[in-house]
Amino acid sequence: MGFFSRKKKTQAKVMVVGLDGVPCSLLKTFINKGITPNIKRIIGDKLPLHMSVVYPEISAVSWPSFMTGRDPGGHGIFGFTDLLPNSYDMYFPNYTNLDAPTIWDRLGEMGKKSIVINQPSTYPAKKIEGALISGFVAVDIFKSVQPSKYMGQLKRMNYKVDIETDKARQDADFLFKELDKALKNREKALEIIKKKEDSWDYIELVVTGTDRLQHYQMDAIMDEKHERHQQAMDYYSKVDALIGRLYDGFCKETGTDGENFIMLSDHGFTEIRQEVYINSWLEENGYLSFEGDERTLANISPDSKAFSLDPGRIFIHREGRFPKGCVAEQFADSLRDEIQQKLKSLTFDGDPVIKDVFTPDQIYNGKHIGKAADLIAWAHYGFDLKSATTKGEIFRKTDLTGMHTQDDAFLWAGGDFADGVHITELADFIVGKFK
Amino acid sequence: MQKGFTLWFTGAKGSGKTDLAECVEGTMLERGMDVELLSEEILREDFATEQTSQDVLVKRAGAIANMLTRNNVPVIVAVNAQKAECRNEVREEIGQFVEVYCDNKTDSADFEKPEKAEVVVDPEADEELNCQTILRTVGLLGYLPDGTADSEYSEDEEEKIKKRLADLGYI
Repeated sequence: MGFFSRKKKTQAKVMVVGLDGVPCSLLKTFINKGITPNIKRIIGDKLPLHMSVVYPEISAVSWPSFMTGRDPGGHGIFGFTDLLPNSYDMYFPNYTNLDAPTIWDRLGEMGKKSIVINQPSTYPAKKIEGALISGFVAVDIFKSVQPSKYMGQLKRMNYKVDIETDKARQDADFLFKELDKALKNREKALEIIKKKEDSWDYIELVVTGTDRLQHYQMDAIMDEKHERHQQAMDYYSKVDALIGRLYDGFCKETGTDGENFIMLSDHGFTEIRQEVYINSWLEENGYLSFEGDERTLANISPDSKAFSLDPGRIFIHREGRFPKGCVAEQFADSLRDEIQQKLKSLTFDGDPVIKDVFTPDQIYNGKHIGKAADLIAWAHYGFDLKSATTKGEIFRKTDLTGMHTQDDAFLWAGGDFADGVHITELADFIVGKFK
Repeated sequence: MQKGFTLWFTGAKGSGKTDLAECVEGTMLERGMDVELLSEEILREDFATEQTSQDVLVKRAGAIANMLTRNNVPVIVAVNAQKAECRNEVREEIGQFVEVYCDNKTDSADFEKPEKAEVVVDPEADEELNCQTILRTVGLLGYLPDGTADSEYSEDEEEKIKKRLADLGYI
């Protein structure tokens, strides 16, 4: 090689497509059955990997772990809901509570520009180097967009931050229409922003319709004889077509074979066999009771020993941690161990319900570990842990047919990842591509 | 109750009126204002045919802006209105009128510079700063509501979030 012919280093670009809740096992079935021909084309011989995510395995916690590379102990968000300190008042952790830099924050520090569309757990939207549209649980479009100069266009195209979940739950026809609209909107929003931004280095687009469909129609997805099965498959094919367009556009723009094109989900999904109401279980076992008629945490009785927050988080009712807390510090650990063992032995029709029950030090690292619940339960497939305080049986069923899983998310990316990769490994991997 | 007014962006073709107008629009939307944008693109798409002349388009923009303004809807107009006389007529008609002149320092034979624009900006300058300059003037003229968007959830938002989480079975 001559003195003046040094190879010019191409600036890296990365594109990530997130498919909320799509299980690796289901994706492989789709690939084999020809439902997702574009994904099949893109992956070639390299099958998607099974990826594990954090506990609890919900988007509010898992996406922040992808974004920051940390578990909840490190980023500070442990659930869709949490309690204000020394109180029973519930609040909804949002993007302002995320206490760790995200992929795009880090890239911004490096002078790299990101376009992030429909990312859950980024509401209300903050200014980033580039552009951001918040995803679930965004409620107000005008707080979901940064920079704000894109708000008008999104308003004019009737961009919705989420489908109308109440109506979609009741009306399957409406659900499928909304899913289609939302999918088109995500793509159009990306087109609008890409056109306006003079450059980009990192693009991320998350499809959350997959999660919605799987919550409401998991039975239709899994049963080929179900009347809505084909409609469900058609939706996945549309998602696949979008991925195909994004991938082809990416390869063309970057002049590459798509080596920096990444696909992932934030958790898996399976069919619900039974919903399991942990507060009912605690009540039945003498650990929890309420004062008066209103069964809310604010009315927890002073002699209650424990209560649960969704999903599967159990708090010992400690003195000093909660206003009516009665469990003295010296008894808290033994009580915790007692509840842990009892819960692990819970069965339904002879089948074990709980796979494991963790203490925070077993699964979390970081400065926020003190905010964690005392126990975090992990259920076997089919058992969907709930923490509603409504009076009723421990085991119940509603119209919901799908539940999340912790160990069946998927990842398709370069690098040396293997089956069992953890979602917290990805942030450094992605940022590393720009160094 | 919000006040209607027309924010009219003036400047030679290609002087960055639309980009800046969208920036201002976004900031107003962020503040919870029910603002509408009439850009050249929107006007051509929704209120014109191929045969519509530029003068007629500008007149239509003025008429629509007038209708919105008198119904207390703030409206932003970013259209190529080359003639000062045309713009002055609209100003007279509407009354609550703020003109932003995007002065790109070029002399265009077709464009008649405004005699009195409430705001003059350099389109080459930082877009955010220009946006803030414009909004400061609009605010001083009494057209902006107080306060800025809250980053915490309102009670109404909390209820919506609770409902959405419950619909998906999370709580």
